[in-house]
Amino acid sequence: MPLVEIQDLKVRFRQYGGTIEAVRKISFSLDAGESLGIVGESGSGKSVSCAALLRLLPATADVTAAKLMLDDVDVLSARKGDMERLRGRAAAMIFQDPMSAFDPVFTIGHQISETIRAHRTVTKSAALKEARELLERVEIKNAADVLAYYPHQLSGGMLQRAMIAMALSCRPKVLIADEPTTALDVTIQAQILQLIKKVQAEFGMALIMITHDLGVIAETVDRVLVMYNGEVMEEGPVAQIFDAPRHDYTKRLLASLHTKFEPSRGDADAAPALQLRGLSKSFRIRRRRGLFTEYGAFDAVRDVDITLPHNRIVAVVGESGSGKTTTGLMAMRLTEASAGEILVDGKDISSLSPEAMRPYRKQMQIVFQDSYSALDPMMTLTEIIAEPLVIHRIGTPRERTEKALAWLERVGLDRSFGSRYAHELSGGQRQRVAIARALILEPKILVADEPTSALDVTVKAQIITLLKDLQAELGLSMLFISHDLSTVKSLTDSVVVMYRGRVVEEAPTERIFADPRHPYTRALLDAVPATNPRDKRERSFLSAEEISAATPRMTVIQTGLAPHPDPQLVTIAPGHRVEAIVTA
Amino acid sequence: MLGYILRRLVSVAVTFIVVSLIIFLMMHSIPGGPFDANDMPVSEAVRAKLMAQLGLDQPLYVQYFRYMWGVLHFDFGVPYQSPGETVLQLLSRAWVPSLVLGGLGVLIGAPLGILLGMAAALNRNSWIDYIASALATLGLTVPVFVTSMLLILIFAVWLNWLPASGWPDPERWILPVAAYAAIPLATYARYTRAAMLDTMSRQFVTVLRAKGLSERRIIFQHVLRNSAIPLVTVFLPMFIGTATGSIFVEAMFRVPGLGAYFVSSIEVRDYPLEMALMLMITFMYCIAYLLSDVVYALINPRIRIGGAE
Amino acid sequence: MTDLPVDLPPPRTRGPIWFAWQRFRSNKAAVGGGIVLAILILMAIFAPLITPAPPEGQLFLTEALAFPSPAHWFGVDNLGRDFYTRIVYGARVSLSIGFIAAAFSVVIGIPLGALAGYFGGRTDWIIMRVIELFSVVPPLLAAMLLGTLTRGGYTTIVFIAALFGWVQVCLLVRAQVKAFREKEFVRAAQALGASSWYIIWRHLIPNSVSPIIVGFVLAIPLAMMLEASLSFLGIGVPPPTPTWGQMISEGIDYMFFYWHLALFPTAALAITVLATSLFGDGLRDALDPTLKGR
Repeated sequence: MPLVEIQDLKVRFRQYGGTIEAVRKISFSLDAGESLGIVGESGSGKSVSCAALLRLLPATADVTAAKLMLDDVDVLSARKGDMERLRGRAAAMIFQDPMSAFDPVFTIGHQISETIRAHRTVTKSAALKEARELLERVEIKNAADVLAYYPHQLSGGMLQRAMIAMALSCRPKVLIADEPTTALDVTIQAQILQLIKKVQAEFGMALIMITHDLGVIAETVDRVLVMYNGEVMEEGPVAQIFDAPRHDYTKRLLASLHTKFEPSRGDADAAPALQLRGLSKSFRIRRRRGLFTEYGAFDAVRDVDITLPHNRIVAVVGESGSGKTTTGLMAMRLTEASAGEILVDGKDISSLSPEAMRPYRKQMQIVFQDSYSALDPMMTLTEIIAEPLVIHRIGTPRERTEKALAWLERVGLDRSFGSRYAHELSGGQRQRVAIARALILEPKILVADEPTSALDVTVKAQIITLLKDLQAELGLSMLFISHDLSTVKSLTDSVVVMYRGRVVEEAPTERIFADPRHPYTRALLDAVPATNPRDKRERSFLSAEEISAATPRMTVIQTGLAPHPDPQLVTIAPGHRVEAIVTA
Repeated sequence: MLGYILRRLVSVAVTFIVVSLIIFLMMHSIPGGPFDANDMPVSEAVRAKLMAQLGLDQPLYVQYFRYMWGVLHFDFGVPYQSPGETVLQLLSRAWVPSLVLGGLGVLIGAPLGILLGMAAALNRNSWIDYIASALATLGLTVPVFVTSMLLILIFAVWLNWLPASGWPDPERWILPVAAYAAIPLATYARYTRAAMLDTMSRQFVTVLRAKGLSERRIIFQHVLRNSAIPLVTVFLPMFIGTATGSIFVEAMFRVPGLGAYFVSSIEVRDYPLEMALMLMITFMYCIAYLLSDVVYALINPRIRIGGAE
Repeated sequence: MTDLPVDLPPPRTRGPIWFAWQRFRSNKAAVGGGIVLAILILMAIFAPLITPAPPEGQLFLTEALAFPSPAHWFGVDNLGRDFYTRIVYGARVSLSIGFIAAAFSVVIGIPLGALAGYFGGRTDWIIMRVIELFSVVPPLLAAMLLGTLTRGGYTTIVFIAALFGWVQVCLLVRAQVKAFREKEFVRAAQALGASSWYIIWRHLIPNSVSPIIVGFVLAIPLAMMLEASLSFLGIGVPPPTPTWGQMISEGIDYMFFYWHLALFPTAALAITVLATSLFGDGLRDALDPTLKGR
């Protein structure tokens, strides 16, 4: 008897008289202890199916199925009270954004013990004791303290651990993980995945892993369901899906993992297009003390040197909070640097007035991460793409429109899109428009700030290809800011690794992937999800203290530098620099 | 926390001083005083003497400082319309009916409003929701004298159940209290509904359901607790509504309270009384602001515990 | 360009305006309010065509205080004027003050809100402190004070209503501009070297149309309420111009015997204010679902 059995599930949402079909006739089953992955892009219906299994959909949803069984209970006809008993005990869920999954006004301890007490008659103190043990099992070290914390006092990774502890509290038979790592940083993501696998084995649960990320699938599950547009495209053992995909969509999905590009033709040794020298940014933070305000400084970026040669692509990688985006914004002078120089073709632009900046604005442009907010919703696409020409007073209105339409074609969209508005486009199409706007003035330098992180995998590959093609065509020098190391590996010429506002390692791309020297770079590379289930591996994770303890140490003789207690960048090979402590 | 309260106190004090200055200047800068040649035909000499007696011949800033100095000692001067007593004596006589009727109105209206708002949010798009929304809009937008007039027409004129004047006997209080209660009832009904609907749409409520908590526990413990936080901010608009409403309620029901004196002091340009009333009301707002800010900070763990900045 | 596997051009999808209209349409109270408001506006415009007598003519002195009848739908007032005519003309005063004051509120509120929201920092601080001053002084009391000091009158009331109406518009525009200032299309325009004025004028104000419309409509009942309250206290629009507030105030003296003199203006004012508010609330919920219940 399978634990979960779904046959011909259909979900429709009623909206303003019409209906939207979210899930069209899907069937699958799950046995006790099994791991099933459901992979698909946003809107494929993967989350809706699992919410339907626990009857968590809003009242506007029409759910029909030939069979919808969870742990031998017919979910469609179960009474309210039976459903409440089923939830948490037969199946528990963990969600994408741990920050919004906890009630902000109760402590973590309260929320876990309340779950225990909803299903079993135990005293409050016994429930709290159990909550503490659960927190320890999900590898939270100061579990006793965490019990008394409110959600906002914990980091995203810690909250996701607490969320897992809460899901485990009623010993569920199946754990449904809905994009559990999407909102987290790469290294944290790898840790959480490993933790989920560990507790699955320890508690002997079945697992449904819902994700858009094939890497997550490769790491965690035995069997895979590929969904697209509310339907199941393909189903099979994980090895078969990766090695011998049958459906076109699955093939496209897999192909997007392995994109390869020609290296850029630029010369690394020629005069650089853009050079950042000693760039720093510190924010004032206010600390209230009674009537008075004290100011402290928070160094978001400390003393960063980056060189971007002509016609090359340099990656800046790091996790959230590493200062990589701030560095990109400072290079564009969208955020003022606290110190340092920004050299464009050898000329320092860091203190030019807005008027004096105008000619440089034509030469350097930026593409942002979020394609939703990148386009003014009140303007047509032609107006958006032509805006740079308007601002720089280039050409007549007719010429501007013509040029904008030409660029629309150049980024792969039909001219007929010109009169449309941003809301009519998909995420990938919007990002194409944003690229057209950035490049219409034919700049020399392009800062691409995570241009694909909000896009679905297949679209992501297309946008990267487009960027690469245009880079080669226009001879762009591109600063590619990203946390996605697999894209970085295939696209860029050299990599700068940032950690806590500093550059910790810098090297040609091949070299950094082959021979990482800094412990943080290694941790980052180690956390990259496998692209094939065969490459699954155990990982070791380093805490911040461990990383700083493992900072390379070198002698004066090796480096030719004066000894210093603070780490500094040391050149260890041509173009390869790493942060190290120089000792006598 | 103490620091926060102190900081709010300072900013409230500054606001209060600026408003008092503006009101003072406004009242003194517009031509026509209480001894205008048109309003009170007295000889030039007598007028000069009167002006000197009342200090109206001094430069404005002197008058302001002299006045505020007095205020600090609870000396608001002598009302022109009743020279036998001080402003303070007159006010201490007049605030009783206002406080009794207004206080009862709030005590009855606010809990009813919260209940109504809850019922509306839990039964969304049902008849109770529509009635609650209609009542809330009515109470919030239609001036109090209109509500009062409707109450009088129905209960005093047509049904003849209750007297139309609202003071002093307790059975006369019913209609004015009902008129007063309309504002807190409407305010709380609307905000409770909005706050609960907002909370119920948050993701953590889905998580609570997925954990297998009963619907009752989700609503009464989690949703209510979260909705209570924004409800604290409602205190102020409700207070404003009730206090300004007093003028009309008292005029309609002929209650000899603060509102009635406000109207008469405006009619006869009674500077001392007018100034005292405006200052008192502004002062009460400042306190109301301060209170709602402090309570908000106290019940919201994000502010109380910090760490989220 | 190489042949990219471009995702298919989508069919013309439904825009935000379509969704707003659907949301508005499904709100029966708002639709009802809108219809009533439209009828009231038409009545005010075509007042001379639908009333039997001029509003100030004491043509029926012999029938003074008469109750409603087929000849005089709402009866006759104490000075022998047809009361139905007076009520219809009262709509002119009420609505015109409402709309003109709301227009002025928007004219003051947009630039201040945009400046505060875009520049933030000191500019924002100053504007917010001014708003704070307005918030500790209840509009009605201050309006009464101003009303007595200036002895009322049509323009004074419009001025007072705008003086207190702009605050709401300003806050709405400020919030919207503040949210949009961080959007990446604004950043992109900055990266292109666009000036602040260009960004405010070309991007931020057009994107604030929803809050501006909402602010405008919600300022109307506020102004109407202010006018009625001041007229009620005898410091509003002076007689013989017919206004509802004034009529209600006079009606109090007659309510025990000639209840129609109290009922009709009260009902007219209640219906108008209620209809406008319901319409405005519906517009707000439809145009900006995130503002719900504010």
